[in-house]
Amino acid sequence: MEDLQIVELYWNRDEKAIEQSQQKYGNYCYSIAYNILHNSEDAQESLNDTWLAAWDAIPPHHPQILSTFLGKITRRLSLNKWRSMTAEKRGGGNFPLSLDELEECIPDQRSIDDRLETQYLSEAIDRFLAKLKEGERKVFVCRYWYFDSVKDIAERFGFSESKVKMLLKRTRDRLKEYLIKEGLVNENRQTA
Amino acid sequence: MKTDKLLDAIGMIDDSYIKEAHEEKKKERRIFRLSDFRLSWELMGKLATAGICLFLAVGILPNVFHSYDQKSASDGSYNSYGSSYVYKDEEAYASEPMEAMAEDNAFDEYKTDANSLTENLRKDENKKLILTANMQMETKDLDETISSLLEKVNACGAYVQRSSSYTRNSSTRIYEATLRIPADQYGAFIAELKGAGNTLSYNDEIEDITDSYTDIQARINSLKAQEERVLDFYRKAETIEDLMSVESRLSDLRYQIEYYEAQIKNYDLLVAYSTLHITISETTVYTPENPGFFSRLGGSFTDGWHDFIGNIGDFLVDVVYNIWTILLLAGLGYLGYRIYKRIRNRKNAK
Repeated sequence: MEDLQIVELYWNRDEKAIEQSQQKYGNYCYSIAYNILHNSEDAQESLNDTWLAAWDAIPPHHPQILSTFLGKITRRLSLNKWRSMTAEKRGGGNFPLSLDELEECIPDQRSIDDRLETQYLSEAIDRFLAKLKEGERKVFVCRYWYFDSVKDIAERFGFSESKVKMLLKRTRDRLKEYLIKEGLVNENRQTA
Repeated sequence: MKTDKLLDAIGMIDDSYIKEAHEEKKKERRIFRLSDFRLSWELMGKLATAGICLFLAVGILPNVFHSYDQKSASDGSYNSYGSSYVYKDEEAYASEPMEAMAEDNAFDEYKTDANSLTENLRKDENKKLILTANMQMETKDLDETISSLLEKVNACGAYVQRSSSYTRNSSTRIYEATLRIPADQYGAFIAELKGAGNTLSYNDEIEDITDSYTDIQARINSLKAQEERVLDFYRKAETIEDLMSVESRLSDLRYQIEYYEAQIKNYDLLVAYSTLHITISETTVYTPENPGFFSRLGGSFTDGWHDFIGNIGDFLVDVVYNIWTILLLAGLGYLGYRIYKRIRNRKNAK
């Protein structure tokens, strides 16, 4: 079934919408949740929450790209679940590693603590991503949006793992410079 | 957590970037990696087949052709070296009745008959016969046999026209020679040679060149008669033109006479000295005259094994011999692969 038809089902409050979403994007959303939570039961729970959240969000939303809409919900819910499960980084998986790497970009969170600033930061990242080469952008998104492992990314793009690590390191450095230049992060390693 | 905001911000990036990465994730990658291979019977079968083909192509075939060439060079009448040197040559038996072959001394009788026939033919002085023979022997002490052979050669006024020695399959020493034996001594020479080792095969061929010989002699006589007449003209010539014309004709006639006389001399030599192509191989155990089925089976198995080991050895030697070429090609291949990978990565990065 086409995405527009599924969205139409949501708008018509037809429960088949959830069934179709699960059928079409179940694996996609599950992989996002599992990359964050690293536990199949928690991931499945997050997935169920996703369908519920989508049911609540549509209407009034009318997503243009249903996959990313559902993926964003899954990601947000999974992150929230992870945050609630642990105050500190624990366990295995790629997610804690991803967090460690991102700490270099924003060493202090004092100035960015409300929704508006998050929105500004996201728009800045959008602009930054637009300047990246396609391959670099894809690698960055796979790592920090989908939380894929370095190994998976290396296999997918035909790179060695060390090359992926180096590519990500360079991109993070450039992001940090960009955020400093945009005034969102101070040069003395503090957020604006 | 200080990265929470950044995580949330990344979570809110434009859908197009998320979809773009998602599309990349959905692509099927067909990249050669050793880890992609799974050990399966099918793969093992393919690898084994490829290995056997490679072994045949690189290891065995060149040696087979090499052996064939060696044999052909020394003994043009044989088609197969490996089998004929173990068992009696098929051509040698083909011309004899099957009953004779069944007897233990069949070969000796055949040889005696052949020599008797040769001797009988030679009694007719007018017959011009060229005898060419091939003989294969095996001995337990090659050096002693060669020494004995050369003594016999010197004793009967024969000579060695060509000789070579080599080692086959890294273990079997072979001596090959072409001997020229005075025709009247040939029978005695062969009889003496019989005791030097175990004779595996023998065949001879008598070529009757009487007609050609007589024809050439007639031509020579005719040319000489013409020469005499031209000489008469020469003596009677009065003008320079006549002298020059006669000299030219005389020169032409003498050239033709010399050419045919050289042919006659060559024929005389071939008739006077029989040719024997002999191959002597060293062995530890003599091949039985009439091996049974199981004996032949065992012999084939053993010989096959020796050949197999020998071919592997030759193959390894060939590999080591070509090691620099192989390393160079491998290096170039690896370099090409790296360049290809780098170009592909750059393309993906764009």
